[in-house]
Amino acid sequence: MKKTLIIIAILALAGIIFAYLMYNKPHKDVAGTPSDFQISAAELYKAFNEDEAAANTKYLEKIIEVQGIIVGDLNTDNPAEPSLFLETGDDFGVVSCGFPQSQTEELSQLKSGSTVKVKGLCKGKTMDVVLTNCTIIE
Amino acid sequence: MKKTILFLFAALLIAGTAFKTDEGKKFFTRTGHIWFYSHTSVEDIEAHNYKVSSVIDAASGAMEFSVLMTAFQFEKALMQEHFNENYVESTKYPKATFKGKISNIKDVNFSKDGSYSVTVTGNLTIKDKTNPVSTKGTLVVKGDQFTASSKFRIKLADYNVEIPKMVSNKIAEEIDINVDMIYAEMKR
Repeated sequence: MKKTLIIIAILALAGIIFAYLMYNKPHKDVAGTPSDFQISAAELYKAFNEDEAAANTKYLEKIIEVQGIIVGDLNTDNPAEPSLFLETGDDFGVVSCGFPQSQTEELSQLKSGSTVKVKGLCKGKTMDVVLTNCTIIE
Repeated sequence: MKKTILFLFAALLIAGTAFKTDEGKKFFTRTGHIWFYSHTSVEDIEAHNYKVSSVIDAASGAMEFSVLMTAFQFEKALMQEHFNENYVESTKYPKATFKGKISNIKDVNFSKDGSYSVTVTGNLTIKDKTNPVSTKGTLVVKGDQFTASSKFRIKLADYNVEIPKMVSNKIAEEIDINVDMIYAEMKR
């Protein structure tokens, strides 16, 4: 009887610990995870423009390394998520890259017109292709 | 005679500029901020989206919003996962949209700095359900930009968002949606 009780107690404890860990599990470490795709901003935008459903299936929530030319200044409309925009060759859209607030200082050093490689999580396309959780890859 | 014609011409020109309108001007943002808030006695849930896309036509007041569901950021990764996989099914319905208008657009002077009260009406689509929404908002014009903010409530059931019984005490049936955007002129 005692043995059964002990086993039940251990299982219950394991369950509680597991639930606690799950509840507090960390967000994906995008910077530390190998990218799923490496592509140019123009190509990525084109893929979404030509067939959004297919592009979503391929790229949504995947880690993408995008290379492109910065257009305009660092956007700090939202201090919590500074954003850089990459040219796509299309007048109507850019590849919009959202970064953690901690990188604001580093990002403000980048100049419009310079080429960068950004690694981020693809969130889909509105007017632009959107990446969040971004980091600059040197 | 020549002087009169010149004078009339000048007068017409001046009169013309007095009637300068906002016709043809479109304003947009690609970094709009929308966040929602659910309050229960057990838990408060909050998620922020900083990548909302929106266009406003200054002449007609027509406004459109496009919101990527996977871009809502939660503090808890597990909550974000449940939100996407179970509640809004973002793989199936990646975007929520709003199509409507500022019904009193004539009250807004985009060329004059100031705060304007507006009424927005339109249709909100989340997942596969569309419902009419009407809300008040504030537009604050400053130079060639303006901020637009509003707050309204939606019933999750109206949009087919099903909350499993097990967590029904943690998620409110009605949630507050806050809109906070900075618009700039669309140069085309």
